[in-house]
Amino acid sequence: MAQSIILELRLPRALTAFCVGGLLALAGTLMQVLLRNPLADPYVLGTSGGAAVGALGAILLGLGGVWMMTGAMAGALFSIMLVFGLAHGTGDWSPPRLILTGIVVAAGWGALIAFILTISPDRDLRGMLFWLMGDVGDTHWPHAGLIVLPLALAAATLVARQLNVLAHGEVQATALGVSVNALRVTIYGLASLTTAIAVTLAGSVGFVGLVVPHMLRLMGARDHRILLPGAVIGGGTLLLLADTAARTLFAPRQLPVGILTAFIGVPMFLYLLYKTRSGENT
Amino acid sequence: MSLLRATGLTVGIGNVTVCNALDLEIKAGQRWAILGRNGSGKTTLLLTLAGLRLANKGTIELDQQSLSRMPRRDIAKRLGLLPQDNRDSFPVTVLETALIGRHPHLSPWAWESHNDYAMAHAALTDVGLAEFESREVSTLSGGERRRLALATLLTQNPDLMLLDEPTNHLDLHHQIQVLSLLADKSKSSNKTLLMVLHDPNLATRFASHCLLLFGHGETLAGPCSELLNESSLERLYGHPLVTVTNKGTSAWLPG
Repeated sequence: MAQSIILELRLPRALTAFCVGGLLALAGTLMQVLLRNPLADPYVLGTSGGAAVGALGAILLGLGGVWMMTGAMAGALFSIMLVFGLAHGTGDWSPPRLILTGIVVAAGWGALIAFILTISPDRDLRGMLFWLMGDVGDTHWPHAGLIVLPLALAAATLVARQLNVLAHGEVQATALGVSVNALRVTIYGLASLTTAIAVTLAGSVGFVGLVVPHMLRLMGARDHRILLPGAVIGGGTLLLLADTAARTLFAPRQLPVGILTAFIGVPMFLYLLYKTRSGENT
Repeated sequence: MSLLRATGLTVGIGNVTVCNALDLEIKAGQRWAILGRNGSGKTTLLLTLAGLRLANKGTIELDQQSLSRMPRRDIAKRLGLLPQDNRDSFPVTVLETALIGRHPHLSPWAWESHNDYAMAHAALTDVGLAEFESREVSTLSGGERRRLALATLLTQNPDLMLLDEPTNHLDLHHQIQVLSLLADKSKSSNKTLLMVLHDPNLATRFASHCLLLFGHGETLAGPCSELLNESSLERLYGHPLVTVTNKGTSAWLPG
């Protein structure tokens, strides 16, 4: 009995939590260096919302499995492209404009998700709510995450030193021999893929991609060759702990883990935003 | 043999023609200054010569190879750029910043070796930032950041250095110190310099050659001794000048 609880319930849930946390932290770290902005996060910028709409769209059309993932990937890609395109002024992405665009796009996706949920049959509703809040308790064995997470981490680590250089700006990076456009396309693809997989596994869990890289940077991990693997481990651990807390705090009632990550993430996001503003004044 | 050669180079930005069918030959060991009014396109020309911007017409060759066909990494081993502005969005230390200069010299999977660290230490010592190695870049002053950017370029150690206003944000002492350092490197290690400057007195003191951008595509290139005089500079800046002579050296002051 105890064995089957561990193997069939706890282990898949723990693995899902770890994978989702790792994927989101990886996506967040990549998006931050891509945008040269420590506020970037797949949830805040609407990427998770886009992926959720893509996945829900596939479900609505009666498609499942691979198609759901493809839909999520397409939604994530489209959403990043939309936010980057709209927020791009001259030169770098300015933080307020980027965040504003991301939040509005995220709100739009939220409305679309709510709409899809409203027109769906009542019996599906409870299970579908996790697209909005993020919950790792509702997934099956997380094959996709277990495969994609190490592959994406390996691919990102291969370009990690280039990311260190890119963090100093496009001109400096090009002058130091980085093919900036090729690198951007790579990061863009990796960030979309990891977000899409995380969302199909657990819905829109917020702020992991924001909190984890920030904490690691505070602890002195600035080199992306350390930061990227660190983010995967840190993000995985954080979500695993958060999910354990979400499962036990109000037992037997279980909270969606997205609520807990928001409790940690929102104050940190506001603090970072405040710091960015005061940094501009000096 | 020329290190950098531009042939029939036409560069424009917006409505400004920076240069028109410019032929420029920069030989190893020469120190060039680019002078011109605000908005005459000095930075644009420098970025074009660095291969970061496309020319409207003409070709640029680095070491007899077409710049536009060279992989970025190969260019970066030989040609380095000090950009006009550096902005860092993430916390980073002084040493880490200087160390990225080694990027083009390392294979994609390699970590920096002792030798790479030694080059970064030496460059930071050269610009007077040896004591600052573990400091956060965000705590540096404008002038200190400028010298850090120069240390990154020295760590990259290319044969040809393109510098966009290397004296920007620097006080009088550090202006002379930085330009002397660059001139010494040029003389001792045969480094070639091409720098955008705003002060013709610094140009005549530290450069061997100069390129004057008059706007509207008109340019003059040649040895400083031939090109830099009161009348050419008055025409260049559109402002009357006074020549002051003291103990055998002369300087131009705006009149």
